[in-house]
Amino acid sequence: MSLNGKANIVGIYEHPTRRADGISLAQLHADVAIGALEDAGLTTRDVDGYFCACEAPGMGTLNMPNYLGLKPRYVESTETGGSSYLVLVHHAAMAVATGRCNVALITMGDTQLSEGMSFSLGGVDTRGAPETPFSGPYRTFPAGMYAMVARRHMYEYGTTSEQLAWVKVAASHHAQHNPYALRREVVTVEDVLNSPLVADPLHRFDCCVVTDGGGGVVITRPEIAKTLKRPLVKIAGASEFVKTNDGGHVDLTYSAGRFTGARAFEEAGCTPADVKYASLYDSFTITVIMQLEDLGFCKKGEGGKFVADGGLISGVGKLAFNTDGGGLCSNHPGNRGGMTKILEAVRQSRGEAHPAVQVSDHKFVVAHGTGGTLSGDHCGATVILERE
Amino acid sequence: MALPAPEVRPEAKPYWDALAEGKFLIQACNDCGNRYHYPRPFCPSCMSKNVEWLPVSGNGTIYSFSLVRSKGAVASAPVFVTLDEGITLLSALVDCDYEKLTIGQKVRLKLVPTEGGPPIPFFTPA
Repeated sequence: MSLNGKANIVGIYEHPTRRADGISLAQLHADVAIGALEDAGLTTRDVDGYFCACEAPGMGTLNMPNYLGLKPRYVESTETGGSSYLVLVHHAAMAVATGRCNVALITMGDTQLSEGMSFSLGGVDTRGAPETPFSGPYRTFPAGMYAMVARRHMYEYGTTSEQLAWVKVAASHHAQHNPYALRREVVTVEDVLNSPLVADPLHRFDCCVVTDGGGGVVITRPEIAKTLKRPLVKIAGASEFVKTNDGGHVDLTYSAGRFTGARAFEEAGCTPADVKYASLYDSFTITVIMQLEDLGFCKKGEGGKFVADGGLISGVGKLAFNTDGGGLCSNHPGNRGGMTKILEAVRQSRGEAHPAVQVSDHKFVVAHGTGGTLSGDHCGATVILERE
Repeated sequence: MALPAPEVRPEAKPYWDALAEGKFLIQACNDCGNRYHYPRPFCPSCMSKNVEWLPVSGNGTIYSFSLVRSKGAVASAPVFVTLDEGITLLSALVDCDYEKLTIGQKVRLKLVPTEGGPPIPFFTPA
């Protein structure tokens, strides 16, 4: 069954904080829930479906309805790291499309940074994972795992550090217009290359920021969406895929996006050529290049050329990306970048992005997340939105 | 340098016992021929439980690697090694000139002792 046209995103909210001192985790989730519902013109009394991932406090889907005052008849918690919230948009749309709920609320929020735990995933204990005894001793760190994808890409396709740097440069051009962005300064390719190597070949500026924060999304049926006073943004296509290293059959030249992009575009009835804006997961610059290729915005191996010379800068390049400044400059709350990806995609679809970076005359926007480890177990999730 | 002992889960005990004797094992499926790592008591390709331990040479080539740095110094060198026997596994490089590593370079197994447990398989240039 196609999801196209069966659910709309009617409310969004991004918490302005980047360091949540003095705010409890539950309060942060409540702030984004209320913000997204107010944006939609709805209240917690209208919500009958609730969705969150493992960073939500306690047993999120069980305990948060009490705190928020919800009476959900459908709940779901899926954990795929940073892509969780794009997966949850997909699943919430399915729940709405099948009548399991009428108004679905997704909340994301994390306060780890203010609690002094900057590199973990809230609510996730990886010690028990089957792979851990065989990966833990090597002190790979997230940057090292993504760097191995970058180095292989350079080896296979001649991608350069300068090309990777252009991804950060584009994000910084957008972040200068976002008053909430953690880092608003415009940087150059030279600035990126001169920043310290964190995990060869990735420099510090190839890595996302570490922040607290969060966001909320409200999804409902088209019939209800049409009664609300917000621009109509429908979910046209959605797809997810988990790619692993398959017991040692490793191929780092492609990501899960190879499968999610094709399916989501088919469901949405469009192609990458129809898209002028994409929110792309930017944990690291290489993540963006891999997704551009795997989603079909360019051929495999040509992502470096695609992003060079401002290829991702709004108004300059062929495709505007992460016009809020993305995870590279604005916000990567709890090391989970998926929520902010869908939020800026909705802003672009509505025409509510900053005027300096708003894309004009476009119908379809893409949001894609890559959660987990790009060179190991990861989940790609694509959502395609259509402005009606 | 002795590392903390690895967590030896029941299904992987033969793997760690072999390392303690200086032997490196992967697994092979007797039904579909799939070779795999990390250890598990069934074939992740065909679900068969007719699997066996396969001693391997410990020789391979670098598929990709990184140098994780702390204040400029190399803190670790994670690597994917493609074994001569065909599968690719995650490890780290030790005892090498980090600045001279390349993809495609030949490497060999290097067992690093642990505190009271079996050694952990690392790799070093051949």
